Amino acid sequence: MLSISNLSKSFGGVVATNNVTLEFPEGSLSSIIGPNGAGKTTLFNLITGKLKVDSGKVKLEDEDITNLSTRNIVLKGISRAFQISNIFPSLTVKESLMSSLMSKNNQAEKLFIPFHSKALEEEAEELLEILEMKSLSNVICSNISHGDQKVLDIGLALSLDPKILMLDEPTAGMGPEERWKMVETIERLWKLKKLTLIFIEHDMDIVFKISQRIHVLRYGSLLASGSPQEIKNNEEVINAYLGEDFEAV
Amino acid sequence: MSGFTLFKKDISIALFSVIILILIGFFVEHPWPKDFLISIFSFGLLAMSLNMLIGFAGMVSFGHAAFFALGGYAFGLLLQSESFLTNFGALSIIVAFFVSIFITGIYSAVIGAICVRLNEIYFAFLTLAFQMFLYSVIVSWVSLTGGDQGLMGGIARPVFLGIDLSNSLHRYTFCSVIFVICILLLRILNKSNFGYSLRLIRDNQERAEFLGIRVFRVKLICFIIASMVASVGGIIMTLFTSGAYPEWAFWTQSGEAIFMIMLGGISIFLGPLVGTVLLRLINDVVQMYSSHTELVTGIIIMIVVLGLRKGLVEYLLEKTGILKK
Ligand SMILES: Nc1ncnc2c1ncn2[C@@H]1O[C@H](COP(=O)(O)OP(=O)(O)OP(=O)(O)O)[C@@H](O)[C@H]1O
Ligand SMILES: [Mg+2]
Repeated sequence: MLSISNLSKSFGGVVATNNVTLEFPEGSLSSIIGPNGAGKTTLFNLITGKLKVDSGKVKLEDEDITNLSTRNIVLKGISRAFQISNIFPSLTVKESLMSSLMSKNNQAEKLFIPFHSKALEEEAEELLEILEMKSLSNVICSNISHGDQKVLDIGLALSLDPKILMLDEPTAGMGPEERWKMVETIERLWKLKKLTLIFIEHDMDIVFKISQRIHVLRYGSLLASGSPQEIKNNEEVINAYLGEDFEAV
Repeated sequence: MSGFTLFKKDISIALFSVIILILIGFFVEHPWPKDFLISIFSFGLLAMSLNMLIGFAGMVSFGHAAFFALGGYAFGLLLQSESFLTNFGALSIIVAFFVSIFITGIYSAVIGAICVRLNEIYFAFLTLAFQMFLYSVIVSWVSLTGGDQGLMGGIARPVFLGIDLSNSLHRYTFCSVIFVICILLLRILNKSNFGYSLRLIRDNQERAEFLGIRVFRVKLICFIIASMVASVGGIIMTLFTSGAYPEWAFWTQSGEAIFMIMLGGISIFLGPLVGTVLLRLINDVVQMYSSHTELVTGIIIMIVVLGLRKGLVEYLLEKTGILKK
């Protein structure tokens, strides 16, 4: 279980994260929602070591992992994909996945081991299969579609074999059809890999359809936490974010 | 599947190249081709190793020639030292060779540890600053380095294993073998896991970190290896000229190496080597017809870079369809 307690972070005068306490039980699928600038991405950055926390704690099981380096967080089994897809433009899709697998296998600094080996290629192909990206295998990443880049970004995170996978707006910038395909992919991976999954999302249809728990942030603070049903009926959330005429599926 | 079996092709090409180079040495009487090739070996290693930083890892250094110069000076100074020569006797050349590379390795580890953390423009400027520091040390420490006269008086070349480096054919053969070994090393590193970690860092350093790559460490190792290979270039030049000169540590020398890379092409493994040949040829030809060598060379480089928007090798490979855009 991943838990954060009393986490705070400010940038100058802006309080991006304000005394947030949350739990993500093992194997759960939770979402984090809130208006633009509510501090959702910042929360991810604090958990994954991209930003140092001002105060508060991040714990994995019973271990304090606050302010560890990104690499050490990754080694603990937490990996993430990004709001703006964050990939390697000059490598092919397969090479990108091979690279992250190489890193997972702790072979990234081997000077005399050839990168293109059968074993690594096979491992990457398995992953390509799971991601349903086989046909793009040898395409340079900068030439694949935006949607595929988002999937690849998730694939990179997934290739590290994480216990906890964090996705920052996985469907951002996608058309409706592509969106639901992405949602299917995410749910499928969650079940297949028995992940603890946390995702940030603006599309409320998606959020209310697949989340087990929803956490609402506003101005850096936690406004509410609960099941989709609870959040849907929460006055404060309706007033602050969802709006009067919100009707979730 | 581990080990060198997968590098078989590169090793075979390297062996073949050595044989060709040695045959050239044996059958070409005229000294010009050999002298020309030795200068290519030397500056080629400078450019190729610089491209390990720029092309493989995306680290644009403006001070790479410092390590070339350090290798050359260290090697020259060791072989001018009486006590060194009496201590190591016939092994002097070999020991001086490895010690010079080692010294450069240590020096570059210190410089690298400071510079490698910095991004782009700061990295470029700081490497340049350290190079100018070395330059001023060389120029002002006259008693050791000969100042702006350079390291004069020749260097000793004791015969080892039957190799006599004062003999021009021996020297040429020795340098070709060392040169090809270094190029092969760069090639293997380029295609190794380490080489792909460099690509990850070049493409997207932040993401590489999130894959668990130890970015600082990988960059530093790259910096040190590239510097050590550059020092071999300097050692070859010292063997060739029987001295060492402060211009090697001047910023223009680094600039020239960047031109070589731009001329040949950053993204093709051997591009910088082709660039080295081109720049040397352009220099030699221009020198015959004009006293404004630098001006004319500069214009030619500008035409290539602005006209083609890529290196010559990249351009030709794209034209012939071998390399896809
Ligand atoms: N590195 C930073 N430096 C300064 N301010 C920052 C930084 N990162 C975030 N902020 C500020 O913190 C606040 C929260 O930003 P954050 O990116 O976490 O919001 P978000 O909830 O992810 O928004 P969105 O839905 O638009 O992605 C914003 O006011 C933002 O401007
Ligand atoms: Mg965000």
